[in-house]
Amino acid sequence: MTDECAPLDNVLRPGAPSGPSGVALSDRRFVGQINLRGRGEAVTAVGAALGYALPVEANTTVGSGVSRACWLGPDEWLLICEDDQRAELKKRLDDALAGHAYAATDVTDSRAVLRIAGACARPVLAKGCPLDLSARSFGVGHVAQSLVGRAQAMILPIEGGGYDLFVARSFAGYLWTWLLDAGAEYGIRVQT
Amino acid sequence: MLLIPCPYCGERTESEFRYGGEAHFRRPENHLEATDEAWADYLFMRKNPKGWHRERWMHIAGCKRWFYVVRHTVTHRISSVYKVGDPLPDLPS
Amino acid sequence: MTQDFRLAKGGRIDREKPLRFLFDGHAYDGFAGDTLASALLANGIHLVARSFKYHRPRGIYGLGVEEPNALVETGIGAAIEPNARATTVELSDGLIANSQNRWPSLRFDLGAVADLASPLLSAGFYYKTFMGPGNAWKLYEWMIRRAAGVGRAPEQPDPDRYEHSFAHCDVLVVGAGPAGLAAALAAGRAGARVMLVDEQVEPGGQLLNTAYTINGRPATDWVADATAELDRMDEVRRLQRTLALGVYDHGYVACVERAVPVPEGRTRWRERMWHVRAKEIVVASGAIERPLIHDGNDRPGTMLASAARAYANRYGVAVGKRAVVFANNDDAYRTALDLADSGIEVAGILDLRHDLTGAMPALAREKGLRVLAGHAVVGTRGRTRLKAVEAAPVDDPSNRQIIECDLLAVSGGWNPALHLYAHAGGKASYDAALAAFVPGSSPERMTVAGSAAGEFALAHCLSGGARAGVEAAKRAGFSATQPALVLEAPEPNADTRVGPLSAPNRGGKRFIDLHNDVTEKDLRLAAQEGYRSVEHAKRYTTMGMGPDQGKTGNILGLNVLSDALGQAVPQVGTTTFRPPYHPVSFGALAGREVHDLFLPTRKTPMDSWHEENGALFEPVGQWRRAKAYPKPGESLHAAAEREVKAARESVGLFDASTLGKIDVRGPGAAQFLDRIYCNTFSTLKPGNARYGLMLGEDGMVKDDGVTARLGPDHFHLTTTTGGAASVYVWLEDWLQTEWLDLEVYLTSVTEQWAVATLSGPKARQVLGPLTDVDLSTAAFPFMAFREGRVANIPARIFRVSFSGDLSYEINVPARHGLALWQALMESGRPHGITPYGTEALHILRAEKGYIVVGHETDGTITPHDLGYGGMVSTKKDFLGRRSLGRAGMTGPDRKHLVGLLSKDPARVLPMGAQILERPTEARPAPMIGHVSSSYMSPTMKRGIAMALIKNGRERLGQTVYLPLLDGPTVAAEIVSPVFYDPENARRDG
Repeated sequence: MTDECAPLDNVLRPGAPSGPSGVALSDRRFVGQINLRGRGEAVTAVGAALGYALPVEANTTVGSGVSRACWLGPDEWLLICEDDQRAELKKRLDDALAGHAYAATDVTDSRAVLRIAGACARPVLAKGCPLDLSARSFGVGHVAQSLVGRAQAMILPIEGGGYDLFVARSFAGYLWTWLLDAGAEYGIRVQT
Repeated sequence: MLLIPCPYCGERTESEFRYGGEAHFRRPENHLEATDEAWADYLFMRKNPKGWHRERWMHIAGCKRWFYVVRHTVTHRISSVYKVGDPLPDLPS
Repeated sequence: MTQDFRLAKGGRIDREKPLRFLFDGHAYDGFAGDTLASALLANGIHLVARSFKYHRPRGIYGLGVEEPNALVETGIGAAIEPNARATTVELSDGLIANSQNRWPSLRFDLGAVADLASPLLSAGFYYKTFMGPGNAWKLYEWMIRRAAGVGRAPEQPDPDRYEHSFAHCDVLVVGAGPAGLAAALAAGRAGARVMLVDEQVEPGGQLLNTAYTINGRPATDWVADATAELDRMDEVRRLQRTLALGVYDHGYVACVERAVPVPEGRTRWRERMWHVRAKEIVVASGAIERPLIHDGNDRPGTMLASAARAYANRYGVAVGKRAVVFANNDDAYRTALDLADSGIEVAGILDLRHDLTGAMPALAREKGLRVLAGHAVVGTRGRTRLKAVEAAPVDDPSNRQIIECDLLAVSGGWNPALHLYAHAGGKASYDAALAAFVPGSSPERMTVAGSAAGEFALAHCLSGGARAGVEAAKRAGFSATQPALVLEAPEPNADTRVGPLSAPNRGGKRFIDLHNDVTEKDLRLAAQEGYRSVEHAKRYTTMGMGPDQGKTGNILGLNVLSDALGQAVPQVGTTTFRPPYHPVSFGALAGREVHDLFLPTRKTPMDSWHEENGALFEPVGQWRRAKAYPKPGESLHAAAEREVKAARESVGLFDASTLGKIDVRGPGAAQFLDRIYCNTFSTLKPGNARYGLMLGEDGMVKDDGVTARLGPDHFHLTTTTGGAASVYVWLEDWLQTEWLDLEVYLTSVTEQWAVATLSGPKARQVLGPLTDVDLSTAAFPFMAFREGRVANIPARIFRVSFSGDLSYEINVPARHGLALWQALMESGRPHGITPYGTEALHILRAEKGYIVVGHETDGTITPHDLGYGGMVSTKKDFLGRRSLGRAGMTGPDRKHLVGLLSKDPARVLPMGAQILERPTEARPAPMIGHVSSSYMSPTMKRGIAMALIKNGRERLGQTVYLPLLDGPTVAAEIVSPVFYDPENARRDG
């Protein structure tokens, strides 16, 4: 294989702000992502292939660890897996959905996944995200598409506090800079 | 900054949406045979009322669904939202 | 300097923490907890400003945001903040403040000659005087702006940091006075998520300023208890130093928080704008005292009575040694009593009312204070500081007595702070007994409580606030019961009615708007001249248009207009309150959307290579794209010329990753594309691609691009870079709302694929060694699409061309984009491969006569206009078809796309230049079209242009004329828009 270049390889630089770090920022590099669209029986058929039913409640996610399905819309989901599992996942979907109308599209390279974690992740994100991020309304098991600064993003709360931010690849550098800037107030540490 | 109750995602702030203008103006039946007047009416003429207005919005930063909103153009009050195919809710009096 | 006017004890200042500050270059001392105003007053400084128009000496007048006079400049250099209210600036060690609008000094200001000329400077003076001639206003304006004014804007970039944050709550309570605290407690106890914002440094509101008791203890004890309880609640967030600026739609409230000042001067952030979304809002914003109209009412030493009592109670400052209280209401007696208790001599209470039967006047008399019923101030003495007032019976104003004093505390009653209520659409009604507007019915999501609701008595503030908190929590979905606040707040001054607002007029200056120097006389003149609406009179006189927005004076002005017009106050009306409640800094509005965070810069997967190889970038929407790759010392023009030559003669490489890409899939996909495009896609065979034109319903070209058929029900659609988002929305619109008969799924894959375009006669030699795809023309013809591997990367290759020469558009997953680019550059090295940017791309396509949406189209151009009529299907329906048959869509009046050659080959016609049929001096000249694209063509070795010209295709060979801006009229010939290889002989290499 040739050299691979993740969206943020050219942004990560030494000398990021240091100090008491209330928030840690990291680049998850490649996260396998299959965009799935379909309706009716196709939805049920996918459940059989995944081993769990697709979430039909808005703004929720099901699955475990890296492997999960995120609700994007009434006929759209983002299936997440390890990067090296996506061909296999895609094949399972195609097999399960043979004969149905659907679209399963590998969009792994479309998005960067930035993780902000730590006690102050929420106030950092709240500087640019109009969602109500309180634990009352947005915790693990939820997922939402919204805005962070001037970028659209899918926001996935993670165990232990913090969020994975799925952002279009071309916006990743902007969002990275934005998060470093927003986190400066709380002390932000870049994890590699 | 409106708070728009997306019928799929729930209440979200206006900046997540794209406005689509007046709703339910229909293409004339057999539009290829429509008179120039009827066609121009469809293309260009909108009610632009002062008061209750059925309008189209798309949740572009969210679920990417188009839906309908009944909004008062003076007070910005939203009385209802509904999906494509739903029965039309009455306009508040 | 000693603090001669600091009381020996009392106040909420920290006497253990002295602070030193500079005002107009002199050092003074104050204490932690002071404002700049209280510290200046403690040092006996009243004179702090010169007025806006007449440069009259002015003193500190109020206590907070209502302050009309004491506008000062704080900070130095880049950190200068003009127009800060001395009353809201927290004192910090080393604070530097200066007075404004004076020269050479505050005490001796030459601008004060304006005051001598004041009889000439009446309402509407500028409008009447500076009428002409011609452009003379520009000169007048320059002079006026120098003479009249407020602070200077800093000239350097703001060094401070401003933050923004979103916040959500069930109940937002604005104001932490008695009503706000009671409301927050009630809502918080019900379990609601509460935000309590308060502009002051500490909670308490009026309870900090006045010596009240609650349940037999000092009211400040209750404040401490309430605050402690709120701070123990997990779901309550309390923000001090936070001002609610405006209420917008659906519970959206903008607030600005000031940072706690630090001795070093620079805080991590200076201000934070809170974007609050609240289910319910309780407005407990209090009330602002208003003064009275009397002669000489702007003399330094004149002050709102409530401010004088707050300086004594809260800051331990005696604003004067000997005070006169001038009032029309009972509450002012509280001021007199508090001042007397503080050790300030009260020389007398002049009350405009004749009949003083209430408890407060009785109490004052009981304490030995001199109460003069039916008396008024009819003049003041002193220049830069009050020395005495002239007092007289209201009924006999010439019967004056002189009362020496250095403080005149004035009270005309209270105005509820209804700004936020009005922002939300609330309609206030006038209460004549209070001489104030009070809230009527509540707008959605809002309750007004406490003195903001016109309930000035403390007991009413507490009970009304608690009730509002309960109701708000209930409406937000929480079950709440009536509060367990059993509070007894004894208050003899519960009578809140007021007397007359005006003292007898003895011909002196009677200011209504202290900031804008608007007098009673100005308002009467405006009424006399026919300004019958308050909105007009306001603009004519500028009453209420200063930075304080008339917080103290507007009601007085309304009453003057009411009297002059012979109409009741409600008929005269009130001016509209608009956000912000108080001026807000540009920094707070901008937040962190500055410098590189002003807008996102979208970068392609190959961006780093472009940057490292000297690319000159240009913004295309939010993308940055390489415009050219100039070598050291090479101009953009020369670089583009070199890049074009390489792409024509050998091979060039272009980053086309920004093209919009949509995966179209489903049983209805082919039919869907037939409806979307004016040409047909259902006949396209898998493995092939076709150029498509998308029209709006109005028949005008909307977007274009190549779409390939990947399988029977599967297409890869491309859009222009700028059209990607809007086309996606447009397609989803038709699928979701109109064509429910089609099952088609769209997925945006713009970012999934990196695209490198190899273009030029040597393209095949470069790509060949890297791929397993058979590149022969027979196996891989023009407009075909193949999947294979390039540089061992899975790739989709499209044989399309935007230059006319042999081209391959190679799509790979984005992570491999850079590797693909590098492999192609390496493979092309023997052939002199040259990366080219968007400038060369545009030249190449213009030489070939290809359009760019947005250059050759502008929303008024049909396919026929472009000469693409042959693409338009007559066999099927598609979006825009009906419109193409409308009158005016064909015929000799349509503009056609043509080529244009200047008679002078060296000339490049400017883009946008207008085109005339014949040279003419007539104006307006009859124009027949314009230049849409124009370049120096390295291939044709001359300037070439594309133009949209009326009936242009029928004018081939004709000469037209272009009058250039600030230049000659040049002649050009209309030709075919295809300059290069019209026979398409070169596209197979």
